[in-house]
Amino acid sequence: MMFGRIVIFEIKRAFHEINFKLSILIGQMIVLLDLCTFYAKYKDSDSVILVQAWIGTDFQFAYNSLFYILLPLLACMPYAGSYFADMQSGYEKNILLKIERKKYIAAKLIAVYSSASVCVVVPLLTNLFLAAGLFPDQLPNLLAFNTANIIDYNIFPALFYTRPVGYCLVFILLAGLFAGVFGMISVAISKWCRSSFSVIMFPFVLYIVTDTFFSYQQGNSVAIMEILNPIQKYIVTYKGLIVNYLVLVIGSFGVAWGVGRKRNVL
Amino acid sequence: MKNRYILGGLIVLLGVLLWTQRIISINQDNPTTYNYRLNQSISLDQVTLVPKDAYYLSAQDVVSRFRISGELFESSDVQNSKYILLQSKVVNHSKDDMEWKDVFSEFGSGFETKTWAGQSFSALASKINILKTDKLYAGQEQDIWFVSQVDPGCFKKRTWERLNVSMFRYVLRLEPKKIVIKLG
Repeated sequence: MMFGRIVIFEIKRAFHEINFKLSILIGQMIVLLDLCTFYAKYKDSDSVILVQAWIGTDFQFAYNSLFYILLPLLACMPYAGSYFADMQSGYEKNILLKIERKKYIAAKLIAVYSSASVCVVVPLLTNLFLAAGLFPDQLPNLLAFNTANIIDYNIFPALFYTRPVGYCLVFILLAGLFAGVFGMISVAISKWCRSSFSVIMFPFVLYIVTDTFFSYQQGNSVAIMEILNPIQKYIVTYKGLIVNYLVLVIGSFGVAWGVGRKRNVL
Repeated sequence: MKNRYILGGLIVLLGVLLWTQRIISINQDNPTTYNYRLNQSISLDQVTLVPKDAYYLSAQDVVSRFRISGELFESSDVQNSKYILLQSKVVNHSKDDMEWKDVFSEFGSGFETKTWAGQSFSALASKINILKTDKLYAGQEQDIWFVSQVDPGCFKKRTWERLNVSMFRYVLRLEPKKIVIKLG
């Protein structure tokens, strides 16, 4: 079977999963609740701007924290457990009769990555799109001190104050990139898990634990949760962002590829 | 079944187009920022302000230039800070006298760069402003200083080293229209 066909097959499988729709629904509910709450409070205000209303930079309500805490779950729920399910159900044995193992693993990783990214990016983009129709896209007034406190030490500070929508889009992209990586982690550890629950929960636990241990009292952090949150409560660096991403991508791909290729199923 | 999907897709597309139109119309009425440079006259309700010169000084330079006591700069974080100052001439062109606190609150927003903002350092401003009279009388003009403390803790080392007076702006007012004086 050609590689392209198996990729398309896996992607179609991922995007037709009930959990995919459920994940998007949960994400959409969170972002819409945030927007409705914000609009209810500020609809009569003339000075409120888009970058205050978007969930990523809205520090006033708990929905920002809720979304970014649940991000790995939203990413892994759709299809990250599918490799584990395929191993348990015997589907893997069937499919490996028709295609090479490495193509199957690669297709699985692509499908998991893309479904995870979509489940995180779509709610954030929806929120940005809807908020843009309610509040104008104007530059934050630094001296009003009513937007997220982005300073020179943070990442993309100039972008926040000169192109706020660009800032939002960059962080949506980052959320999508890391969401895909969480899915890949799930695939990588599937061999050692005993249930699909643990496969899906592992990236979430890793996310929370690293935030606890790698966010320092001095105000800086190398934890993924703090890197992804556009409010940037902690100081994060470009180096931390890139290193985190590369380590996770290479690590999870390497484990999934290495273990998957060697696994004797037949 | 297929027709339902097509109909649903068309409805969603129509909704997106209408919302996009709303986004465009909501952003057409952008607030104006009035930008000025040094030596440009800025006429407001009762006063005219002419920004004359701007300085970016260390604590020592401020003490020696204005011949003030250094007690304000005794703590280490204040010693390491720098100070951005704007010298301006203010003219009361109205028929009424103005209290100095009203003059300073009229123009008292603060300084900003691309990624930093600082409000007026009133303790230092009260020391360096030598006011000839107890009020700004009608027709009177007077040189006044606006000053903010620039804390190195707000900047990366590389930005702090490259910071100079031309990177700063003084914000006279935020509302109803933003009035900004570029110092470079």
